[in-house]
Amino acid sequence: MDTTTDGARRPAFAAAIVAAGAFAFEAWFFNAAGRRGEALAGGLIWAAFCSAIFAWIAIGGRPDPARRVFFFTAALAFIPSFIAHLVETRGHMAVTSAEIASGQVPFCHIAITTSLIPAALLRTLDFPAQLSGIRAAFYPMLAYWLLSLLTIGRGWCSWVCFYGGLEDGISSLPRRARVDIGPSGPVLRRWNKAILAFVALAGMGTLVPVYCDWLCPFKLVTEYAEPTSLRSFLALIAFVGLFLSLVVVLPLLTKKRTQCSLLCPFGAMQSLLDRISPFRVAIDTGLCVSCGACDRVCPMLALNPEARSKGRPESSCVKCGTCFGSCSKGAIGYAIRRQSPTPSLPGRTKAGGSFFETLLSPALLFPFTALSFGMIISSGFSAETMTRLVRLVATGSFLIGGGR
Amino acid sequence: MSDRKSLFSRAARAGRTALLLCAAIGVPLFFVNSTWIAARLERLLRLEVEPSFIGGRVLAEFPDPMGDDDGPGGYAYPLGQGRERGELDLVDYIVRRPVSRPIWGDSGAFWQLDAYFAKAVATGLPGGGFRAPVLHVYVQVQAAKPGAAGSTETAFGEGELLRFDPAHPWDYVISADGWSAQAEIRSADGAYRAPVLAIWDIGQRRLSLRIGLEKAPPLLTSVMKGGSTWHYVLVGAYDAARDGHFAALREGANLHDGGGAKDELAPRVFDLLAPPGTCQASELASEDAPAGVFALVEPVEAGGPAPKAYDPELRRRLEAETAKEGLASETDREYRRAALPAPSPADASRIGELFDLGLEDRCLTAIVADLSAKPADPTALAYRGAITAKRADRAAGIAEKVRLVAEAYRDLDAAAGSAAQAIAEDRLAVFICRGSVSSAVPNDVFGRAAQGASDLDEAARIEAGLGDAASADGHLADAAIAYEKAGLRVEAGARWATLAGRKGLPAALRLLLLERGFPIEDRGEDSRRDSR
Amino acid sequence: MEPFLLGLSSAASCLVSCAPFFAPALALESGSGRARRSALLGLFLAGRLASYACVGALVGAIGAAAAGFLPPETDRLLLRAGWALGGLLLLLGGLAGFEGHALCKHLAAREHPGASALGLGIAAGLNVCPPFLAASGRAAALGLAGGAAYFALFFVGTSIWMLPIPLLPRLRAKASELRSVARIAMVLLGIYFLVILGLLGWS
Repeated sequence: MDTTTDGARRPAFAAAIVAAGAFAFEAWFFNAAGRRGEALAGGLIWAAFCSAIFAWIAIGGRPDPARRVFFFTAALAFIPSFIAHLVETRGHMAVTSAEIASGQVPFCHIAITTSLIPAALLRTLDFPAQLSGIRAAFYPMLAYWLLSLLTIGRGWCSWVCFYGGLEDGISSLPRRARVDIGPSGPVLRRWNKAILAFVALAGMGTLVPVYCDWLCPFKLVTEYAEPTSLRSFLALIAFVGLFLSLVVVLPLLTKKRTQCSLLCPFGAMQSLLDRISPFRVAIDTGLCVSCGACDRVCPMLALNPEARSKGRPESSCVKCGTCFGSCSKGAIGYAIRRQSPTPSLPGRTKAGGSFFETLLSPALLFPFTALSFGMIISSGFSAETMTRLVRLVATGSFLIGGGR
Repeated sequence: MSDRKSLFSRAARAGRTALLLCAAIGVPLFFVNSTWIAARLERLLRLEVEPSFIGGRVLAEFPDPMGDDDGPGGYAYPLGQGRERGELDLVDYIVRRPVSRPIWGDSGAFWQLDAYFAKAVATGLPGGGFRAPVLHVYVQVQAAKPGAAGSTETAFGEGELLRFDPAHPWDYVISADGWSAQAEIRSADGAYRAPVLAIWDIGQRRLSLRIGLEKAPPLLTSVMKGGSTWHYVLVGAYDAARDGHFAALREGANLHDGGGAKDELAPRVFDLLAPPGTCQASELASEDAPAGVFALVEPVEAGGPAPKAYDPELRRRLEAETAKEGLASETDREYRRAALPAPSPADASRIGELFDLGLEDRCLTAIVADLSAKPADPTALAYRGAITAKRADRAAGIAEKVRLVAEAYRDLDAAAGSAAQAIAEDRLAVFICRGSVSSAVPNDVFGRAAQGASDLDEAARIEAGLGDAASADGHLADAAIAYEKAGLRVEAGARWATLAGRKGLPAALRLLLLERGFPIEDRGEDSRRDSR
Repeated sequence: MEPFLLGLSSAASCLVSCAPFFAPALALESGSGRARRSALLGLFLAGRLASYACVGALVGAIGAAAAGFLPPETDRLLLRAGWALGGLLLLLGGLAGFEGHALCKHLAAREHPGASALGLGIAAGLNVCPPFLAASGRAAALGLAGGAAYFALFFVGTSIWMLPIPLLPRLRAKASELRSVARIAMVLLGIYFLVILGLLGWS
């Protein structure tokens, strides 16, 4: 795939090393600087891990499989950290009426889809969360979302979202798909947009975060309302059912991210607004030979003959880069929006390409941006999970504070 | 033409690359400043959480003084359970507007009342609950009309040993304690009884009572139209064996009964929400035991007409008095500066004084000398931190300010760490320094206002213990201001309410109280309490 | 001016609470001309006004306007009726767009956008808010003609943000995809409103 000569490869390699060095400094700053003891140990482990991931991407020349390793690991690290916090503060995972009445329920980014329009028109947040003061509060989450629009767009779904990471990892476990849902791409995209419309409109009509109330599969690994009535019991069944079917079983059978491509309204919203992001995935139609290999590997069913002929994937593309490695002609890669679709890869340089040209190419800048985003978002809970693991080894206890 | 095109496309490519670079660098830069950015968003958008989730909009709020959980004065807690002072101390009471369309609740329309306590210890039961207090709220929901129902006697046999203002006979009583499965509402005529949802929030030390309005009698439902309601809020010590679960009182406390009762009709109420113009001590001491007459209590009015704006002339007088006090204080400092001996090694023992007199350089010299002999001296570290914070205030650029504040906190936090075993005067200096700095620096950048308030609270306690009530009051006011900056309204209100009950406050404090709507007229007796 | 301003004070929340009823229908007509969209919006608003008038009369009859609040049970009943009716119409409208099933074809054959718009307007109007109660009380005190005029001005105030909607540009390119998404959303909204909010009353 790499058709350059040794002489042309050296600047690219040097650029990758420089970028990796910058990333390592950033990772140290956000995970380890200013920490002590166990927290420092946990932070250093996570910083080293993220730096290794970026170096793998930069030097290897493509995002996958490094990105997927990071993404799945971050998602796995989120769950025990979150659950441990709940056990330490409440004694159990279920959200209590005290928390709802105090407006102390952690605000999840997916709730932005129901909250945005009522917040804009009525100056009211239809979610019992803190407005500020912690990361999982409304204003910080809103700020992170606005940042994602300006930088990575729907790349959030493959580099940042700790829910999507779970599914991404699970869908990559089987060697091959047992059920082929390739042709379902358009149907899934339509249903995804419809669910966004449903969640947004129902939220407007009732000021209830409907997705959180009835549809969120990840309640199973975060928090849920105590099943004290028929309603909350049915909701729990819905969460468990959706999690098992869309996050575990179907991804294992199809090797596709069925929850992210069908259900998640946040992903649909990011798709609609992705045109604000300066980065995109591009297909060089001159190089493409229409072998269809990329169609088969795309976990979001974003590639098909029509998309390839247009030179860009469908709106459900999450910029994960899984398709890059499947293309024997190197025809797919990251590009700048509105630029002619000539993707660049770290391993390739144009004739006479310089160190700076490679360093400032979308092929390096997008993974740097996206992995920075994901690394910083995960720096709290992932480093903390590492700290808890260190503590588990040292003292035999995973909890800090003993729990109740 | 083709040269221009090529130049344009090169410029466009450079622009796009610059944009990508901004995106890449922008992400870490954003996160370094994310707290500041979120604070700016908050100022821009000014949202509120949908009130239906959190119990409805606040209709009226009544801060109650802290440390008045001793009835008319002198009551002692029952000795059982190791109850701590503060567990029966009501610090705030909030009446909310009824919610007609609740969200995420299994009940229908409701009316919520919130009571905050200074301290809360959980019962450990599954539904939550605070172990010590029993709360009774007697409510009159409509102004008394001839022939209307209502009562001026307690609802629970002997109960609290009180009677209620005949001008405001109560219509409903809500009773809640941490050991009963649920709270309850009952009407004065006994015809209506229903469970009330009690939400015990141990973190906020708050009990929320949600009174269901669906299938409720029309009199109770009438609260939905707005208008005034009158509330008697009574806190007692829990005793399952007594009427209304209010523990009895004797001369001396025992396992189940409280102590300090002056006669057999002493009200069994440790804390009472007293309306403006009255005080808890006088109301709870108004019984006439020989005549067999219970103490009379008056309600607070929620939803009444807005309090009159303060008299601008009074404000001007207080401002003038404050300026005079400030001038007198500055004159005094000048005298003290003039009377200071020349710089000498003895300065190490007067670091605090040098700082108070504004002699920063001399103070720093003394600090350096002191720390060379005692590297962990908390007073020296604290004052060094305070001086660094003052330099930050005077610094030119934001980056320099932030750097200096971070440096200041290294000293201040180290001082707090080594002050644990120090003498009271040293601990006082540490808490005043760190508290003042934390209150002064922007909370949306450093997030230290709440800690500063807690430090100033501690400073107030230490001053009171050393016998300097005036300084203690000053620190309490500073703590209230810091709590306001931290957005902790209830904590701030409780401190202002406490100060409002003190006599002989300086004009500066009285001005702060006036601005916050607290009455500042002199009271009939000194309601000062010793801090515990 | 006063009734108009009173209506204007709740115009934003009226827009937001009515959106689930008219937005999907509007999306279905995204490829149609302004005249047709204006007509459908007009029918929606007419249904809403009719609903307001009936509820206003009811509110006056039970003395709720004078009392200043609606008994919670009555409010809940009206809301649930609105959700159930609106949910049913949305569900039927959504199912009419799916091909391949006899029931859907049957519904498609009987689909009448105008009647649906009217019905959805009636459903949206079964939502009593405090400004509505205040307006009902004032209108009742002004007699028949005065009261009707007062109420009409109030209604215009509440609808102000909805009036420019037909002026949105006509979509040609993505109209078919938008209609498809709208139909699915209508089915989901229909089930949620009819079953969860209307019949079961779980909010």
